[in-house]
Amino acid sequence: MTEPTLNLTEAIQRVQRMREQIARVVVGQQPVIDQVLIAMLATGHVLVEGVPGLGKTLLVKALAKCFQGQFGRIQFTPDLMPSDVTGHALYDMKSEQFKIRRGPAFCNLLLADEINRAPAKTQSALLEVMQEKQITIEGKAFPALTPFMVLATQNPIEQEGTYPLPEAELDRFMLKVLIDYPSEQEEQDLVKQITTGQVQDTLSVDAIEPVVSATDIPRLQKVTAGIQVDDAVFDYAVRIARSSREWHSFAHGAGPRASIALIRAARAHALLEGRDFVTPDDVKTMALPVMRHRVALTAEMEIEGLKTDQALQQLLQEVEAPRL
Amino acid sequence: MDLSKISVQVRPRNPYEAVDLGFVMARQWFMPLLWLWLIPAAPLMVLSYLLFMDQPLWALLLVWWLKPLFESVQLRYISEKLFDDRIRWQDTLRQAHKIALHQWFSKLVIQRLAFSRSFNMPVGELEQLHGRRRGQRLETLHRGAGSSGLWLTAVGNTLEGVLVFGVFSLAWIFIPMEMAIDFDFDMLYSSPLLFPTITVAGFIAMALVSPFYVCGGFMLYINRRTWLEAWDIELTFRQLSNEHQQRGKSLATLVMALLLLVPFTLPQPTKAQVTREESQLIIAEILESDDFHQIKEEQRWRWIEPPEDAAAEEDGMFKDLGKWLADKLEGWTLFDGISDWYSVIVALLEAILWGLVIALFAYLVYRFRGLRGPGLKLKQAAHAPPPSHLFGLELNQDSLPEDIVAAAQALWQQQQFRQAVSLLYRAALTFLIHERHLPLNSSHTEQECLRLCLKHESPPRGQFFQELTRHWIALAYAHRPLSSEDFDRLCAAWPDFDQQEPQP
Repeated sequence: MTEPTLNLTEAIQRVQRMREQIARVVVGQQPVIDQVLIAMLATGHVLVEGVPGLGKTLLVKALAKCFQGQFGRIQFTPDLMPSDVTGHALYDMKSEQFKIRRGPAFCNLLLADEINRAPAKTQSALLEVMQEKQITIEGKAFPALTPFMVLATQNPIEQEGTYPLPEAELDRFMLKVLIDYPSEQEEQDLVKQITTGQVQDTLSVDAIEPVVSATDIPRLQKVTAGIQVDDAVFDYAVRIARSSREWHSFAHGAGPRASIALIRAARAHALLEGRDFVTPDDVKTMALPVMRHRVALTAEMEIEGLKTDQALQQLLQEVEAPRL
Repeated sequence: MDLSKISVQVRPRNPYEAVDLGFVMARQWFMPLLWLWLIPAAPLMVLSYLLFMDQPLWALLLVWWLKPLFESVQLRYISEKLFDDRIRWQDTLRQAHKIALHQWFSKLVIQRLAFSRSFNMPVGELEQLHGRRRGQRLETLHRGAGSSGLWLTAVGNTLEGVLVFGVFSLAWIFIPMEMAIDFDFDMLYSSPLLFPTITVAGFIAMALVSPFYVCGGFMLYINRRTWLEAWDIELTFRQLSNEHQQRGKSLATLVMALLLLVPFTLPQPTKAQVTREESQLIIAEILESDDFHQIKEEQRWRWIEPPEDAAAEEDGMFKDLGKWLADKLEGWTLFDGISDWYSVIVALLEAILWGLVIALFAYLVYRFRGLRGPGLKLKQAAHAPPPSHLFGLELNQDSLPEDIVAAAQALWQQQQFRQAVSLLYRAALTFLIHERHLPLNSSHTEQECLRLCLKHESPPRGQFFQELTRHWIALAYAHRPLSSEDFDRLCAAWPDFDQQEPQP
């Protein structure tokens, strides 16, 4: 029996509740929470970049908790094998049969910590799960759980001994979220919250109440996909992606996946804002997280000290907002 | 020495060309030169090595100290080879002991550490000069090429060092990997192999460098003599003379050629047939001749420092100008101490240059005033011409009807809701851009326009624009038409929005 579809108001309420619950434990990272929620609503995956200790694991745990989802975590290391991600077949002496041992990828939310520390072979094992939503073990394909979302983290410092993600794999991530230090006030709140009446050094996700069920997530995704988008907005998103290909600061621009991700993310953003239609502002807001990992600066611009985000801001200032 | 038999082209060269020519010679006769060095030096090396078995560096030092002896043999060979190609190195080698031991004390003690050793060597070895005369001769020769001789020695020593390191490294890379694992480069210092290796490497380096060093110095010497004694001219006259003799030309031509030849051949010491006293007389005679007593008048400008009082009379005008400028500039600390005409010009020039620098700086500041980011693009100036199109809407004031509200209401009546609200929104933007000078551009979305309006405009105007934007967005992107009441409210509020007021 299929679940009844949600109407817009219900969807907006549920999303807002999730947002509030997560913000109770993940202090001072509201934009990051929003972007992760957007990626989940838009059935995308997130690449999170930030220095250690800013609550990336906590965020994933909190998200999993608020929809009662299964949470899996893999710490990527140089000796990690693809089967450590997906799982493997094991010979059972008793039954004289091969038994499939499912890897950590069989979960709703997979945290791939420091993904660039593993070699390309292991990284690409994630590709299939991310793109096809299925996991192949010993030639047999198993569907991934629904919803399924990968949150991969990268450390911007300590690049030694890492394997930078190839362009094709980067393209698979819908958003690249930059996680930064909280503000002074937020950090004070965080310290108070952690040290008062608690012995552990990390915030516990116990405070989070499950506000939606795992089955609600596909329904929310469905509502998101139904958000109205005017042709002018489609045109705007495509123009942004296309102009990055000719933009002088970029050695290579964003592909068609960027346009698709831009619209999907803009839809989710509109839902988060409580609207049932997408405006050009939604597209413009999502342009940075959607595109920053899909473009590469030219060597000259890198030497000039230009950052990808700065170049994208310049590009957005040049692309005309929708014509009507 | 017969110049006509010289095997290189004689012409005045600069010192570096000369050294280069010397290197060409060294390459040409490298093997004979190497043998002439190795045959006396190698046995000595072996002998001294056996002698200082426990201190091999002493053996190397001994051979290094005796280097001038071996080099003098090389020098003799090269000097003879230059004028007579039939010379064999074996012949030179036979006389090696005589050549080497000639002036040995001078070579090994007095001259051993001379900076331009290879350049000096021919004076003692070939001209056979010593003592004070040698010193005078060297002084003359050094006047033009002394520093090159010094550099040649410096480069030669450096090259030896490099080669020692090279041979050393070559030995190092031949050590098998298995051994090298527990054989650190640092361990070489304490290794018993260190000093024997350095000794062998040093010996090879000296042998390889010496032909170049000797030939380079020798050609510097030859070149210096070419300059001093005009060898090239002498050679030309000799050739001329020879040609005429062979062709049996008239006696007069021959005499003339020979006459011309005489003065050039005189200064050459080897050709001198007169005694020292006689030559002094000849010189005195020549100096008394008319050639040295011609008086020639020349006129040229010369600066004469005029006395203080006379100066005022002579060039009063300039002086006055100078004094005036000096007085004017006196209080200026930049030009402290300006008192005379000359300094004023300098000061003026300085002022002009400073002015130029300041002007250049000002220009650069002006040129790159709006530079955003690292040298990429000029920011739009605060009052850049407003865009004529925004969101595809034409925003010229001329394109709008006179009475906006009436026109919008007319469209509304005709059921053209979208066009009606579009007209209001377009008129509002046009008003904000042209009348309120809001810095809107074509990349601004509706919300960005609204934010700018709320930031810069009065609250009532901001609220109206917010309301209008809300309805416009809902209509345009959600395809949700507004009610007639809402539209009427917008139309009613329009005159307040459109009203001119003094800019904040």
